[in-house]
Amino acid sequence: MANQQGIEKIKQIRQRWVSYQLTADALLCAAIALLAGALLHAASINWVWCILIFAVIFSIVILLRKPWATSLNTVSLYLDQTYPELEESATLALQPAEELNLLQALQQHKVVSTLQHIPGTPAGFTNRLKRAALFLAAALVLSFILLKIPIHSQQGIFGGGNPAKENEKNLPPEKILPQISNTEVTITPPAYTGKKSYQQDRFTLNVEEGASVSWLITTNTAVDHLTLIFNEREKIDMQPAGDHQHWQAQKVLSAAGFYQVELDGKLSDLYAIQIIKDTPPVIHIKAPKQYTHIDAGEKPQVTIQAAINDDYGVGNAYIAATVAKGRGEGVKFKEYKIDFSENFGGHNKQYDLKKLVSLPAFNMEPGDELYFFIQAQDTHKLTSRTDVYIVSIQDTAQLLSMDGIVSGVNLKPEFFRSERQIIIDSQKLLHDRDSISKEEFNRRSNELGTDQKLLRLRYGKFLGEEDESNMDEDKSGGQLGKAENFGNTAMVMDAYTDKHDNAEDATFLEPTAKAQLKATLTEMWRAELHLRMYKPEEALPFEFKALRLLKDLQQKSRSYVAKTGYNPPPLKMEKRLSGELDKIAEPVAKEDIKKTDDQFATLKKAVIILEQYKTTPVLSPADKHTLQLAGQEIGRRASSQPGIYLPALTALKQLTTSNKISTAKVDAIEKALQRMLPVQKQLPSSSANAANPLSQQYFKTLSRLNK
Amino acid sequence: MIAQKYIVIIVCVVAAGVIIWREVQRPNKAYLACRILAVLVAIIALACIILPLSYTGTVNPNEQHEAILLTEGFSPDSLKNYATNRVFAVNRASQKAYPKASLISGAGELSRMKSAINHVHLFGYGLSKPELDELKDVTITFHPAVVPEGIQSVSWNEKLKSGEKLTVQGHLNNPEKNNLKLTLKGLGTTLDSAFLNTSGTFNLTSRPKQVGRSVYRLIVTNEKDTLANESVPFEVNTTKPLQVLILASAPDFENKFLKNWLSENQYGVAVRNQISKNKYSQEFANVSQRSLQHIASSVLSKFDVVVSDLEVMKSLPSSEAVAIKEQVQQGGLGLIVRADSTTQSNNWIQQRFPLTRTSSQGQMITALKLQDQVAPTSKLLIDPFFINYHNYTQPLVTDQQNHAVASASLAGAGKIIFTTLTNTHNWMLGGDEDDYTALWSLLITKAAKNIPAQNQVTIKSAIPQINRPVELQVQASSGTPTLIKVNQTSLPAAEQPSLPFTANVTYWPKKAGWQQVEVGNNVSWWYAYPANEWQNLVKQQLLNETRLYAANHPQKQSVTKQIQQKVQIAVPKIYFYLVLLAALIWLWVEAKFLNQ
Repeated sequence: MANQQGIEKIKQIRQRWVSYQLTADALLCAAIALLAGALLHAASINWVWCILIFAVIFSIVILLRKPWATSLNTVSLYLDQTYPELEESATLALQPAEELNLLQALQQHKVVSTLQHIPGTPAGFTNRLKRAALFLAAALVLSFILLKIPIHSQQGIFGGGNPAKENEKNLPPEKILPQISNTEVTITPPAYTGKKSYQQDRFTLNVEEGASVSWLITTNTAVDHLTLIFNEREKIDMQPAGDHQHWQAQKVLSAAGFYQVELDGKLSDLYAIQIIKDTPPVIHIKAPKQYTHIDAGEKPQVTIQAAINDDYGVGNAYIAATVAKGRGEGVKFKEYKIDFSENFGGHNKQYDLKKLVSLPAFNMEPGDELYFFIQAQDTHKLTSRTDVYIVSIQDTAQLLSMDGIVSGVNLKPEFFRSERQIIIDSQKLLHDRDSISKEEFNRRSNELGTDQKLLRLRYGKFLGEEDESNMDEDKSGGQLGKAENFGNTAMVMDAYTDKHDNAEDATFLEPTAKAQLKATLTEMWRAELHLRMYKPEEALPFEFKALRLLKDLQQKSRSYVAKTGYNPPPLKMEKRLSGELDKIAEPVAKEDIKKTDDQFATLKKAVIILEQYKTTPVLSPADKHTLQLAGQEIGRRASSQPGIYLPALTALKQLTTSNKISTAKVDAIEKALQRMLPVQKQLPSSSANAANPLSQQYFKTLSRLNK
Repeated sequence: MIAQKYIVIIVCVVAAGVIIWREVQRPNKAYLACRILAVLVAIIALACIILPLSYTGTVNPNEQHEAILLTEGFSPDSLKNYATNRVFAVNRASQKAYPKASLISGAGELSRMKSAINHVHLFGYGLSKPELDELKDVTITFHPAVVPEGIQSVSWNEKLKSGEKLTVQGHLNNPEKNNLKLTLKGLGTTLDSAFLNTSGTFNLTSRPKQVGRSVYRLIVTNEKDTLANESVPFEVNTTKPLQVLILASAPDFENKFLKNWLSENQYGVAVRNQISKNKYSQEFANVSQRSLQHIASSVLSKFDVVVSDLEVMKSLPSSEAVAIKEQVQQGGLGLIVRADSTTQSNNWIQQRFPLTRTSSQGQMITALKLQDQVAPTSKLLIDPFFINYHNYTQPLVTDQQNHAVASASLAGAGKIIFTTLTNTHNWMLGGDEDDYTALWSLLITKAAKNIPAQNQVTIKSAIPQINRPVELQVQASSGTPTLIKVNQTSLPAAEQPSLPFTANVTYWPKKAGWQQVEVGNNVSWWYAYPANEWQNLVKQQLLNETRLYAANHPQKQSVTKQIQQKVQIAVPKIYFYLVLLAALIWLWVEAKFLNQ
């Protein structure tokens, strides 16, 4: 019997231990789930997920710890360790009395009676529970703080979320009709945006152009009519469900404006509709430059590099090219459409495109020009195109022609060739390259380099450069070495100074011509460099450039002389103004310009009324009428720019219906009016002046004195 | 006065006789002696209240009987050096700040104590003019309070024409060099703002778009608080089209564009172009047609401004030239004259406008600066002639180097504007209507004849506040102003003997806001500020008025030693009132309780 009591007591203690452990685990898991929920909320994710988190963590913890696995034996061992009065024999109480010897039976009896005095909940049992409770309290405080701090700054961290929902947090609360218990607005953006449909519970809309919006309004009582009124004109009757408490309507929105809900004749506030417009794709051509000139000798090809951006997706892009061939009246145009190698199937928002265009592929020859632009289309079929870019290949034939330069035969010494001749010789050398030996090729190339140098020095004289050919060091050195010339400053100076800054040389040319000549010399120098390195093909572009610059210089030196004027015969002054004039009629013109109506008169009147209202808040029926007219004007603006004008329109409606609004709302209306009114031009006016007998007398006396 | 004294004494003696006789007649003879005494005392007290009792005392005028009067804004520390126990305060706040002071109802009480007080040390912002007048020549030493932080003076154009700029200018006192922000707000919009971190002037401008009466707000803020939020009331009136006469020697674009621009804006324009010898073409827009063959005074009096060339003015027949001169000097007609190539002449028009030709050869292109306009205009081709600066002329338009190209001068009642600009229509051709409008608005506005105002009302008080007297001055165009109504209440007008066409009116506005003044048929408006607005200006005004009073009533420092002077000192009436009350109480108590 006594034995039974002992077992009961130990079982009771075990049960309590298990339940305490379970509770502690539950609290711990709840704390973790709470924190997780707060974090989820901060990341704009539904906090209901934290219940699931709780369930998962709790089951894992329970399975790991297995508190129910605690045996009675363990409990009795624990009791032995905790309570010395049990004399290490609590386990005896668990054993059946029959199996015990006398001493054990005696001891068991004693233990059982002692067990009754042991408290049902030993002191150590609650330690873990207390700690878990403390942890939960801390989690509560922490999650509260998490919910209270502004989360906008963290959105970047957590990302995601619905754009409409993110906006909601910044917006002021809406006023809705009391009968409406729930609103669900589903916005389906148009296909071109590639966005999924999303929902919001606000009436204020900020949607993509062409989005389909469906309203689902739940009322708390059965309602007869529920209508949406758009821009105060267009009405959409909502379709009721059977119980007249669920109403539905749908509309495709393509223009900004505002709307309100009419519920059995009761009108709600005005809600703004703002439209996010699709923008056409933006094309940026990185290469080539707007005007590209391919000199003779350069590779006839261009690399077109472009970046295309769009807000939703690029649908297609191509290069539209036009080749102009011929000159003068015989110009022929041919159009080509060049596709990029990129596939636009992905409708990405950004593409970096590159295309190598080989000009001979379009039958382009020297002197021809290529005009091209890039056209891009986005997923909404909005197109945009770039400016026209021009690539021209230099016409060598014209450059080399002698027209207008020379007339007749002009023999020139062999050692001094023209730039044109150097080009022709270089081309001939390149042409002959395969048929002559390498030594011969190099020799001829070097000779051409020498010719180029001579030409350069000749032109260099114009610029006052040193005359290298006359540098006779031996002679001057020899003269200088003589004893009688020792200390002859003039001679030493003459021998060792550069005399290139001769005033005579320096003033030959205008500064601009000089600069161009200098550029020509640079090109010549480069051509010479390449010729000396036996690379006439690389020297050719520089030779052509030098020739072009030289031709330009020649053109510039021409001048225009105007034609001389016509000399009229002299006038006879005595005959002037002496004709008979009596037949000449004196014209009289009279016109009256009607005053055009001031289209802003209503708004100006409204300002006067509002200014009066601020001091004496009373409105006459006429005032109300004026305000209503002004309200129509504001409404017109609000339908295009609801973000700016809707607060004013709402306040004005309130004023005309209820007669009483706060000063802040009057300010809102006035702000809209100030925005709508045009800037007044200052026109001539005269100031009023009190005319009194004294001043009149004064002026009379003044003029008498002045006489 | 003496007769009145005797009448009072006789009446009192008769009354005493009758009442004593009545008391003796009473059947109940209890307390008879006491009653008779009480009656006598009561009647004597009454007589003394009616006739102020005074005695001849002696005072030493050299002996200073000083008192201290505390007004708003005083600092208790500043009183340390003045060891007198006669400290008074005119308002409760000052009395609380310095509890030793005794509260008095007004400065007048000090003057009634004159026998004892002949000099007052006034601390704080001071008293207003009517309060100071109550002091009745008591000399004061003024210890002004420190000028408070905030707007110290301010001014703006209260009556605007449509399109005119509202300019709010003033001086801000900022002794502690705080970062202060001034904002001009109107119609719910911030129109202009300025930052000041020292004391200095400010200038806020805005071009009102509305017409009618409006109240903008001038707000002074530091980083945390709003220091002041004051009303800036003003009235915008629509412009009344003027009548302009253009006289030209030949048709040209300059006049054509001016005529078109004026007539499009509903201004009346008449143009007389000489097309041949004594032959004129005449054009009229928005004015009634009348012959301009001969320009007489009767024709000119219909116009506000005449626009012409100096060349035309010189070649006019003498009768026309005289008519124009007379109309300008006496009729107040405005004259805008374009210069010809003469740089100097004794013609009455060019007398004050000698020209200088600049050394540069031909015409030049430059931007112009208009009077009262900060931004320069767009560039214009101008002739290389400039108007010399001269006494009695005002340059209106200058080029970037401050050479005047248009100047104004008074000529009797009228104005002459002289200009060397002959190509302003190039602006219109270039689509720059704004600059053209600005230039010609300036020139014509400056020249235009003044409209004779019917009855002009001027507010004499600096800051008309509610529950304070506001002085209005009415100026009538003819005769004496009569029947002045403020807010539909007729007010008596105080005529000015020296200026018979003006009258002064005092009005106590009860409600803040716009107040209507009606003089004859002419209605105008002025604004009464709430009591809490423009406090700094009110304080400044008090300081100024008190300083003026102190300067006019300096402390007398007599050097000669005077013997004691005899003066009449009035016995305060309060004692007689108390005696009368005691006597009457005794009579009442006797009749009520003891006479059972």
